[in-house]
Amino acid sequence: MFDVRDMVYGQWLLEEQGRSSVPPTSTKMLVEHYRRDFIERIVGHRLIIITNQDVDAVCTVKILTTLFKTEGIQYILLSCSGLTELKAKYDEYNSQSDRCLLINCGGTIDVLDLLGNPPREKLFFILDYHRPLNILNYYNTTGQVVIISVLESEENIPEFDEIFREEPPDSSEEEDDHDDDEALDANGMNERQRRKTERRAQRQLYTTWVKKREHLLFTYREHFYYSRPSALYGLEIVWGMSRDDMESVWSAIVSLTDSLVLGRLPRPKYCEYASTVNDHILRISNANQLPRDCLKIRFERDLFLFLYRHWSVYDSLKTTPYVVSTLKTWSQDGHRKLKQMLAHLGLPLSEVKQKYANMSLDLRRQLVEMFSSQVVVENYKLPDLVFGSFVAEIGFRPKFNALDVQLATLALLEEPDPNKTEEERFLLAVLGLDVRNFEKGGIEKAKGMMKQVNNQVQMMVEMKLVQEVGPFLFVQLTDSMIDFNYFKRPAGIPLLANFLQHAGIRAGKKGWRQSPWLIMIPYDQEYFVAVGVQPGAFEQADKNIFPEVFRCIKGKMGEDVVGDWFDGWAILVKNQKRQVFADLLLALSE
Amino acid sequence: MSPTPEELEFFAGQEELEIMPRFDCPTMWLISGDLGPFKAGIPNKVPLWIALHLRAQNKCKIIPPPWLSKAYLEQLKELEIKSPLFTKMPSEHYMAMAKMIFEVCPQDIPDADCVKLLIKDIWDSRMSKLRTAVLTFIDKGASWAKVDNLTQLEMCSIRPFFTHSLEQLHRFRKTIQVARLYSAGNSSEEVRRRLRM
Repeated sequence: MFDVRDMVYGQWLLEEQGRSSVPPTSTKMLVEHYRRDFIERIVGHRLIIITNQDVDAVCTVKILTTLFKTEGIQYILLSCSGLTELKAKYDEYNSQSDRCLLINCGGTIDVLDLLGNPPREKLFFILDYHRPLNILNYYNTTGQVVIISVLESEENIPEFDEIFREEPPDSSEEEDDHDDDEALDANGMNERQRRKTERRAQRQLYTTWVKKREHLLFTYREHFYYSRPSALYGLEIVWGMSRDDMESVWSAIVSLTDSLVLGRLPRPKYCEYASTVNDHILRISNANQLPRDCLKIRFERDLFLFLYRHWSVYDSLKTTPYVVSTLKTWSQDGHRKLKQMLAHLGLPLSEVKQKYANMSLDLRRQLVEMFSSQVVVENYKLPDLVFGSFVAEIGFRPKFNALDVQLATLALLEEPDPNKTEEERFLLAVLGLDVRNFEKGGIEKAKGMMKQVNNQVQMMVEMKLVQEVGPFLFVQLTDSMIDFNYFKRPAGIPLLANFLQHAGIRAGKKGWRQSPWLIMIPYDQEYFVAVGVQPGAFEQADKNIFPEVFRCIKGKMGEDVVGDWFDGWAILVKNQKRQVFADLLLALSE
Repeated sequence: MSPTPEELEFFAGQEELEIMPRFDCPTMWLISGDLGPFKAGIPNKVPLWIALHLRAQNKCKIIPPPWLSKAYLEQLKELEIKSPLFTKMPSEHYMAMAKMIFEVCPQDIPDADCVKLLIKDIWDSRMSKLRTAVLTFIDKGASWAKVDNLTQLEMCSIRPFFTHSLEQLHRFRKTIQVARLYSAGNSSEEVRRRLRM
């Protein structure tokens, strides 16, 4: 007789056997197929999204929430600025759902440990561009943490066997066995002694393995850097679900430009990602011309001048970090050089000082050609003034380029309005990214931000605030006259820090190019922000060793240092402990 | 009462349209009809309102109806301009359908700018014909006219003015009639009663 129960039981046996033969930790916790491994695991559950507060997270949130709205996936959007806030927000909301998406936070720390070892059903998806990824996130035994990323060749995550191994049993346990009645074997040793030597050999292998492991982990965690912006992964997820459109591509472009401007990506990488995005654009727009009402994006060469379309070209030249540092326009000499360059190019000063919209059309058309000409590149040493950028236009409104939108978003995120909480600012920044309702408010704030940066740099150079101490260059910024509320968090600090470094090198000695910089920015009454900048960071994105260094210092200084942020190269230090901090830093660098 | 333009747009939403879905879904049994099984990549006929709803969520691609193309509309425009009467429109709700499709997804229609312009031209020429017809109607003082091939939306656009102005004209004529009768001096009981009406 054929019984259904037999069939079911047989099937269950097969499944059990199949399951036990696969070791639980050999599967790497990476998402291989976006729909199968990510979206289908979220559908039907409510999703908690916890993000870091930077421009990339803003763009990723915009792309993914549009997807979730059309797919009918409910989500709770929370943003946090550091580890303590992450834990607090998670504890508050975790009872509402068992699927959690962490954007740009939690990749470098042991997530399960931080959040108190949540039960088995809770899944965590991590989409983070901070590297190096924490080993325990990558190889996690419970299968709860899934990383949405494609590993690049330079990541060098150590192999599983090199980090995890069972500890062999202790040889001292066998000491109290009696060896009276053991037979002697061919080597003259008895059974117990043979086992003892075996175990000793094992123990020695184990200790060498432990030493190797520590060295491996140290080299792995030593360098901190950024990989592909999360918004590009967001775009790929949306593409995988066939829901991509121009708006998502535009958000990804803004995020990519942010990584370039704040020095998170080197230029060649930026060009590589820009060409992939360009492929997306070509795929989405039809073969025939798009109608007027639709968002059209073009990849073209554009000036690397901040906000020049919304300002006058002259103001923009005087504020863009790259131009200011190379020409040294804080001095009279540099100022003259700038005017000389304009005269050389044939741009009359009266035209250039007007608002961009009022400039004559011919001059506007020739700007890109002029600034990429031989004159500028060779005589004034400004080869990178023209770069490949994306320009969007919609309807009959004036065009806007990705650089301006990115600066506006950053300004909205960081604006020093005391009435708005950080979360509100994050949500405003997400709303402000909407292409059809693009507000000019963000642009005005960005102008204020750039003016602040320039004031700081000017003050630094004039008051000679750079001190050479040991191998480091210390810059102590004072907040006496000018406030820099825009630069309190790692989202915007690189703009200030790289500019200071570049300007400092140009104003100071040639040898300063090789030294790492430590910039101290006042935060509030009690604390200041210590920012570690690698040598040459303004030229190209480099791996940063400061997070590890700061971690050691935190271990020694304890409570006086708050290392909360996900970007480890900036920490808060108590004002009174400034000297202690500096001494420790110098001691560590020996 | 007579339908408003919003209501006409609602009726236009019931016209059938072809879409190319990007998702799979079995048959859905709705009150107003069945939505056939959807298979990604296979075209399907659905009412316009469903097509636009899905398109707004990026779940399908709209295949424009055959008359919403540059070539067809150019021919139609030629015919319309040449003929003194109204020509037959490809669809009863051509204006409303075109407006709704252009709101949601102009990029699905090839040469969308030209198509928009052509539809507007056709609409303008028909409206001007309508206006001259109304003018002739009032001048001649006619009491009825027969017009073919007029769409609902066009009727709707002149309805308030037309009926209101005809009513005013009727009042004027009535007053003239009363005045004539009165001045003719005929004051019989019968006539006075009729005048007071």
